[in-house]
Amino acid sequence: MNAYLLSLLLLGASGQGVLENEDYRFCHEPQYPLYEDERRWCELGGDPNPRCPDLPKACSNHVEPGPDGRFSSDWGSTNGNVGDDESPGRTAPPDGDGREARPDRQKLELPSVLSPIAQLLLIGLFIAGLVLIARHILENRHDDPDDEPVEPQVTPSPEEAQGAVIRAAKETDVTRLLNLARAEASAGRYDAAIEYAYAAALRRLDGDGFIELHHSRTNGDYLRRLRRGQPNLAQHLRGVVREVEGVQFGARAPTRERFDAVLSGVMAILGRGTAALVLLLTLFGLPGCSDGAGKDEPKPVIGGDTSPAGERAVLEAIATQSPKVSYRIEPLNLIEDDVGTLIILPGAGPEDDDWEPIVAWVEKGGRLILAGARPQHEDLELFEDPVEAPEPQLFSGYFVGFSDMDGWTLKVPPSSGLLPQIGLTEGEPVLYRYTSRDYEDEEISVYAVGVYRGEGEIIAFENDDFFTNIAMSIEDNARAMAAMAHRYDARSVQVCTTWTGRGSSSPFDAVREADLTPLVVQLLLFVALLLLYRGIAFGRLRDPEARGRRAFVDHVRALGSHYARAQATGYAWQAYAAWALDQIDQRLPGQRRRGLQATASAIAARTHWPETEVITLLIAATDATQRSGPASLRGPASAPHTDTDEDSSSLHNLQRMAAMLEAMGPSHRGNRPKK
Amino acid sequence: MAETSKAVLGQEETIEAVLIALLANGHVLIEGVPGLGKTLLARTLSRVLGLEHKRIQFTPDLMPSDVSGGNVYHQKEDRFVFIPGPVFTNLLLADEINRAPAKTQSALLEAMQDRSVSTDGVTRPLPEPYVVIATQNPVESQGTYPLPEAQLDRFLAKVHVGHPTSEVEQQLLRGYASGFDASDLDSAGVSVQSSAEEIRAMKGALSTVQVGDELIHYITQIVAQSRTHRAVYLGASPRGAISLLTAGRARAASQGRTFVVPDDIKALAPSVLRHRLILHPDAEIEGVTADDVIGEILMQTQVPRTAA
Repeated sequence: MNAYLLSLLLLGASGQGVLENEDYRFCHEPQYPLYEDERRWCELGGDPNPRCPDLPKACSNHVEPGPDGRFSSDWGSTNGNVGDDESPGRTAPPDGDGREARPDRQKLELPSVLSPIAQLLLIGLFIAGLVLIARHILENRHDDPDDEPVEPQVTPSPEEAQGAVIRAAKETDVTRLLNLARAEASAGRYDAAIEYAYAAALRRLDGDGFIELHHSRTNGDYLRRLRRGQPNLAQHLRGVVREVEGVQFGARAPTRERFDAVLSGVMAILGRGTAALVLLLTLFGLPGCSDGAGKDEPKPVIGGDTSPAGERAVLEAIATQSPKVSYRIEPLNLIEDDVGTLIILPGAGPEDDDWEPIVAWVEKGGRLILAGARPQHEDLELFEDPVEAPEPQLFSGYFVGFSDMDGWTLKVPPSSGLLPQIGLTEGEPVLYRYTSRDYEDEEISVYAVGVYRGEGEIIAFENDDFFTNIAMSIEDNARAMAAMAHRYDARSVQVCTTWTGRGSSSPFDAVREADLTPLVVQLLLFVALLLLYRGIAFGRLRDPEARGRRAFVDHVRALGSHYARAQATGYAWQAYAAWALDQIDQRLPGQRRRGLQATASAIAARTHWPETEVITLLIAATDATQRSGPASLRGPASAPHTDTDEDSSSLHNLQRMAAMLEAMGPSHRGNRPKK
Repeated sequence: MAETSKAVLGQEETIEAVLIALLANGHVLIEGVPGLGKTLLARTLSRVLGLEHKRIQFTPDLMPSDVSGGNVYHQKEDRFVFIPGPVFTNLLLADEINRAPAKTQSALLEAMQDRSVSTDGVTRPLPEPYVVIATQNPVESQGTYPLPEAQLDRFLAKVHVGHPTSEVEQQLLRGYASGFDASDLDSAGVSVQSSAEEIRAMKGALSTVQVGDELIHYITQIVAQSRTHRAVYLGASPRGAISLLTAGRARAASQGRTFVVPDDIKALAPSVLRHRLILHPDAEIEGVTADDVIGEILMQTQVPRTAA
């Protein structure tokens, strides 16, 4: 009899109410579809089941899975079962089982242990936020005597006053601008003071991202910009702008009253800007707050799966007795002394190198609970030699005594892989299987055994059935779980899953473990090559290359395409005809004065074209030139005709003719010197 | 402007331009396709301002005397009697001004400039106030007589009117569905808000609106840059600078101010200058518009007394 464990049993009915949370939908939704392996628990829960009121109805509501192993969709969507069965290594049904997808919240409730770098970053951000808020508060104080000292009241020369105005345009710090405004006002230079105060407001709005200052923007531009996003601020600024512009561009005299009015409006704008910033920071900060904030003992974050096969209820049951319960992220090769109980779920799979430190930790007083994990390690002295048995089996140790002691009833469903009954001592309490109610019979099967190692102990369960949410709904299983994990020395309880030991201690480890090292190395090589190829300039900001002007031929082509799109071949024909006739005049000087007939004859003689074709072409060209000219000189009746094909044909023929004339050179008669 | 918006929706820029032109002794050229409510705008403005209005549809056969009027022999009195043309009104809508020959256009433009009509040696002044809203269609070019640049310069502002937004169009259709009749402004509740005398008084007070040296410098900077911009063949004339100044004053007055601010100049620069710039052909081929040039100039010009 394990007196220690028995004493734990006297802790009382802890952990019995963990399933009241409606996140455990299998306990609160009568239509919740259960998998076949989950239905094994139905007989054990009884009807009614006070801990899980709707489980009996869910058990009676038999839903046949479809041919693809999914449940029919009349109960819920057929989305992938995101949250239900993500417990690594558990006997979970496959994804997409037809159960309604869990809220993403469960996804977010991953173990929240942050790396030291992340913690440092978070703290840094928090401090920066505080400093920013404090700075804003300090900046907005009206009459803080500790403000920058006011300049002595010296009557400035006009040049100095003009210089102050120029400085207002250059100074960008809001606090200094306000101080300058007050100093100028104290000196009686209210025009400069008003300008400084207004500049402070604009700088603040610019800094807060509400406007964007630019030398080409007017006050009206800023007001219109503000009106779109911040109408309240725009209203305030409008009043200020009226006063400021009245002084700057109007005949309003800059007085103390006017300065006070401007400063008042500016301070309202600055205050609103700060309030918006604080609100923004608060909103950003809210998600970081927890309901345990301010308490001495931080509330352990218990996330995890709330499906029947999940383990969240297990942790919550343990938490009723042991507040320090959490998932373990750190590797198992170095277990901290403040860890009292370590529960290893299937899939957590300690490496061979891990067992030595684990056993050492057990010998120093730790309690190791193997939930179905059957590590093959000689140091464990808990399992049979795997050579002689198909799989490691429990062979020695005490039988963990939870059953029916002090009126508790613990149940787990039967399964195929029973542990062999060994070394049962009469009167020894055994966590029994449901089918082996009478453990005094020889057919009794043992579900869990334990061994002492040094000052600690190792408890091994046949499987992880006992470590599921649905197990916590049966009889006294939940408080037995709480009792088993509890440590009087207030040491913590840690649950190991497949995520245990998967964290990286440095970014390099993370890259290595993600098998990204080759990719990163290739990227670095690519950058190095780029550096060699383009020089260091590729990483620097450079002015965009000046856009070169287009060549004349490009303009001509663009113009031509415009004409083509506009179906304005007639215009092109007119222009070309005028040019071609001019060329003909140069090649055949004086011929056109003698008439088209004479010109055509001369051309035909030189080019050997038929004279009739030449004269037709010349008539068309001459007609076209008479149609051309500025629009204002033409009547609507003379609008160009739109026979595109004819114009194109004429243009090409004229071009050929002009080219032939060009090739033959000028007329000898034309070049003959006058006598 | 609010009263005008009862009948004319989504044309705030045009309405403002007309009002400014009215105060600044200028005229407005509206470029837009037909059916955008230009006639309605003129009628509504004349109703709101308490002015007389007339409309001329410009056609190729329109004669100068059809615009300005002319002497007609009166048989009974045995003498020539002057019959005033439609130009004798307060608010004249010259629809599709580019459809009439240059001679007829000149007759109107001279009347616009001189604010008087001379026939047979007799000069007759036009009513005061007097504003011309001329329109032209940017799409159709055949059978038109484009206004020469020198005459375009006589318009104080040129406004582009585009199609209304979907929301405005829905609002417009709802109005018509509920019984709005464009020919009956009374049904829209448009009432007289002013009178010719009041407008004359306002125009008289325009000279008291202050313009600081910084703003004069700002205007000259803008106009000077319009002459040296690489895409501009011919920049804004001194008349353009004067128009900008006058329009700025009118805008300040219309907003209840006794002084001009840079925002007045900047807001009005596109409409006052866009028709005064002639772009290089290569810039036009590249798709550069006068508005692009003015936007670039305004972006490069430092606003006086800016905090930036």
